[in-house]
Amino acid sequence: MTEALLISNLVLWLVVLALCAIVVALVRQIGVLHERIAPAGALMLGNGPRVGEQAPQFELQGLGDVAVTIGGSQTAERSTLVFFLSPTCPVCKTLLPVLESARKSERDWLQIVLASDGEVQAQQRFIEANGLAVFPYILSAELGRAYHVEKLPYAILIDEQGILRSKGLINTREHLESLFEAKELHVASVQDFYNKNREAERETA
Amino acid sequence: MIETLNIDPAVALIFRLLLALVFASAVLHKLIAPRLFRAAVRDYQMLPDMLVTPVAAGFILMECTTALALVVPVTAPFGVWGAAGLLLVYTGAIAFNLLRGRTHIDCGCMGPAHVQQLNAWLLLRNLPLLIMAWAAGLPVYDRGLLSWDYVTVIAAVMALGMLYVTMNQLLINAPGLRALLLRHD
Repeated sequence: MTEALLISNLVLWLVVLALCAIVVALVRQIGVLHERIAPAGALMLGNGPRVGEQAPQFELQGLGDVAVTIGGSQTAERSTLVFFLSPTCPVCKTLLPVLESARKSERDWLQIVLASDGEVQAQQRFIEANGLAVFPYILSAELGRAYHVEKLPYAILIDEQGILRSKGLINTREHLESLFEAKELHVASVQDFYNKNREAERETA
Repeated sequence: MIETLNIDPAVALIFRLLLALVFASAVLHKLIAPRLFRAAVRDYQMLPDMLVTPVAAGFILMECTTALALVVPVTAPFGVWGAAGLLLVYTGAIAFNLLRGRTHIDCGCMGPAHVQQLNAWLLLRNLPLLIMAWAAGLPVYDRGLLSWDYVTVIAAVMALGMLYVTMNQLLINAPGLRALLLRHD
C-alpha cells in the first residue's frame, strides 16, 4: 500500500512539473506575441512638421557650448537623428546602449543629437552617469514643442537636405531602426508603409 | 497557554530553497546590468544622489549573502531574516512610490530585458514571498527528514519556481494586453 502511494505521489509530481513547464512556455509565447503585434514601427503621434517637408531651422546651443543646427535649408554632411529623452524616463535609459551602437555603426551618414529640457544640473548628472558626453546634448523646450513631442522617448530623422524623413515614438531597437528603414523606403512611417502596400494590392486586384 | 505555531521541516526547506532561488536570480539580473539597477534605485527617489551607488551595491551584496545563507542549514535563520528584510524594504519602496503616484518608473525587478512600470500587482507578487519568509522562520517539528522528503522538496521547489516565473511573465505581458484592448475599443 505504501509503495503504491509513493508511486502515485511521484507520478503526480512529474505531472505537476510538466504542467508548470507548459504554463511557463505558454506565457512566454504570449509575451512574444504581444511584442510582435504591438505597433510594429515607431508610432507617429500628434501633429507638428510633416514628413517630407522642410524641417524648421533651430540654431541651438548644446551643453558644453556646442552649436547645433537642426533642420533648415542648408545642405549638411550627414543626416540628423534628434532623440528626445529625459533623465526621469526609464524606457529612455534602456535605449541608451542602442543609441551608442547606432552612433558607431551609422556614423557615415548619421549624426545623433540628444534633446531634453529641464534643470541643467539633473541633465549633467544624467550625462555623466550614462556616459553621454559623446553626443551633442541640447536643452530646448521650444524644439520639443515645435515637433509636438508628447511622449518620450521620441525621435525625428532629418536628411542632408533638411527634409524631415521620419518621426515617431521609440520604445525598442526595432522602432529606431524602423525610422532608418522609413527613410530608405521613402515612406513616412510604418503605418504609411502598410497603407501604401494595401493600396497597391487593391490596385492589382 | 497558546500553542506555538510550528512548521514541518520539509515545508520549511521548500520555502528556504525557493527564496534562495528567487534572490539568486535577482542577483544575476542585477549583475548583468548594474547600471540599470542603479538607475532604478535613483528613480525611486527615496535617497540622496550620493547614496544611490553604495546602496545599490549594498542591495546586491545583501541579496547574494541572503541567497547563500538560506541554503546552508546553520546560517538559515539569518537568511530568513535577510529575505524578510529585503522583501519588506522592496515592497515598502514600491508601495511608497505607488502612493506618491510615481507609477511611470521602472520597478527594477524583472531584469534588464524588461521594463516593468510600478503597479499594485507587484505588491501581490511579493506577498506570497513574504509569507514564505515568515513561515520558514517558524520553529520546526522535531522529525528527521526521510529520503522521500527530498523528492517532495526538489519537485516542489521546481514547481513553485516555475509558477514564480509565470507570475512575472504575466506582469510583463499585462501592458501589452492593455494596449491591445485599448486599440480595439
